[in-house]
Amino acid sequence: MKQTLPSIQEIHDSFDAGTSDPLSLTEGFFTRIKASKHNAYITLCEDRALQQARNLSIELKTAFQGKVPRQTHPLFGIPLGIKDVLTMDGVRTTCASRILENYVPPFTATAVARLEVAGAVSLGKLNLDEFAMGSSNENSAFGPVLHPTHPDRVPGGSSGGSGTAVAADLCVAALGTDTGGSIRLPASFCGVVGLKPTYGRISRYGQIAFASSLDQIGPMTRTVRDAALLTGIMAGVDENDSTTLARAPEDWVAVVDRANGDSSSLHGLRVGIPAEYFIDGIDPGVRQAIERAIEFLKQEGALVVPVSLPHTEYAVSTYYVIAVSEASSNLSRYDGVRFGVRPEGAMRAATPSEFYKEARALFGAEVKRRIMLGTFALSSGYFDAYYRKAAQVRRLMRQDFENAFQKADVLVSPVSPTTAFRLGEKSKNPLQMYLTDIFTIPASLAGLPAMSIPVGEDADGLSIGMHLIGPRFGESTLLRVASRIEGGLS
Amino acid sequence: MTDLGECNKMFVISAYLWQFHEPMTELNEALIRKVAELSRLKLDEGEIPGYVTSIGEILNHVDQLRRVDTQGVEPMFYGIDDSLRLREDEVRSFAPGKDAQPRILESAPSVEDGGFKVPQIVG
Repeated sequence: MKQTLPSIQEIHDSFDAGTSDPLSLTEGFFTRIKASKHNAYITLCEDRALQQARNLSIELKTAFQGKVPRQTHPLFGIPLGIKDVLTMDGVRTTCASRILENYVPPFTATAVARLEVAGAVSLGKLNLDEFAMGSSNENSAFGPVLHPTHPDRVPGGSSGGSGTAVAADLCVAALGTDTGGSIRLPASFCGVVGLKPTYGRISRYGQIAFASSLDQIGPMTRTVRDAALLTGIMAGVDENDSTTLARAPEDWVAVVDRANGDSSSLHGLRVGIPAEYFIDGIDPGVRQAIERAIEFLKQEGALVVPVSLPHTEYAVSTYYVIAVSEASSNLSRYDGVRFGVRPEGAMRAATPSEFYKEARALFGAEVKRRIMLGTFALSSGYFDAYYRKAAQVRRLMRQDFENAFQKADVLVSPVSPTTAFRLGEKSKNPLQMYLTDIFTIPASLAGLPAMSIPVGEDADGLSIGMHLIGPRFGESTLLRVASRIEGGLS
Repeated sequence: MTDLGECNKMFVISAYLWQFHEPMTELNEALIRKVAELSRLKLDEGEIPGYVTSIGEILNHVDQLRRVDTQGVEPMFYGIDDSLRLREDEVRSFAPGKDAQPRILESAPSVEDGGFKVPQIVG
């Protein structure tokens, strides 16, 4: 694919050659961010980042004698953008919500902390849909993010700031979070690589919760190798998140490097095509690009096999019951007492109930809608019909995947039926907006790893992402396939 | 494996029959008001009809779940099946911040005697 921006490896080469250094690179990003009209960032950590970069530039010259310590600091001097749903000690963390507009957490998310220990420089906090609830980034209290190349279009959501920032050269790589497609959809719309790892791979400590059984942090990057690198650094057990998995991270960078150098690496790989993911309503341009990518995989020696995921048609319903139910519970902490701005009006309230309502009036419309839906689904008399029923269908969806992975090693589909849509096009109809995520939601419900990899553009020059879904812990297979596509399909 | 064409036919028939079903829940303004109260959300009168429509449409779509036979299916409430990783419950101190107050108090809107000061929430 077209890839003009340098990868992490290439940036390190330029540090080694002395043609760039962490400080000048970081300063360059702040210059571009300030000149940009994309609204990708909510908060910049300029002083903090420049201090980090200055120190690294000095260390590079002195302690490391001009050679990047790639083994001990694999992200040495690499400027990153962090989705503003992840905490950083002393840096305002808003979740793109007015209710958290003053929140300065006293601790750093494990994922961010691990990247910084590896040498990364955090440029700032990236815009998103409020509390990560949305597919277009139009739900931010700080205004919508614009698509990187088509300013009348959305970047996708909820990690829209992350997608645009990576594509528009406003950071080298970004962190996103994915609950039902929030990494993969913006990666597809913006033409970058996005990876949602297996649920539990990366600690959620410091990730402000939307739907705890679905939320997962992942990288959004310029290259597949960069995604492998970031994932390897972030993954692994964290005693602060009891759902992190014992399974040790693999050397995913080595997986990508091997695949790059080996044209036979996909020989005999079974690529499953789920019948239910190739439905009417997919844009012809999207269908064509995906079919071309499948043809490429065949040329690489992969075996294409039909599979079926019969419960796919229930995915959006299942997801919206489960996600909103968890959200209504998770967001109950924003009451102006435990968390959240304490507005003047609340201080004059006569009763605690009135106080809470005054404070919670700061939520945006979509967040209120989801809290109400979730409260309804969990309420007495409706719990079994909605929440419990959806949780049962979720189990059936996971069984569908287990059956499919008997026949296939990886599944492929479009990330979304369409390319980036216009600002305002779907914002008046929540159900239509929810249906944007029809292909990404099932893997989230099943806790499976999945990726978006650019495979082309439509007639308007809008990016198209191919969706790869792997079995649990199948990140290596996804990265191997993505790497061959990146190298060969241009 | 069942013939896919046959599956499609079944789907078309069930979708046809579905349009005659009774919705599980009749959503109206009173129910929205009740749910808003349970959620501790204050809605403007003008907002209510919009929520009746949008939440109604979503619930109507969600009603399709009733078609799925889930007899005997164990609900999947969690993202992992593995047992949770537990650790000892140990007291750890937060790094001190300005004025020797714990850092955790720095973003508190109101502090008294080294603790969070909150509005009166019990009568």
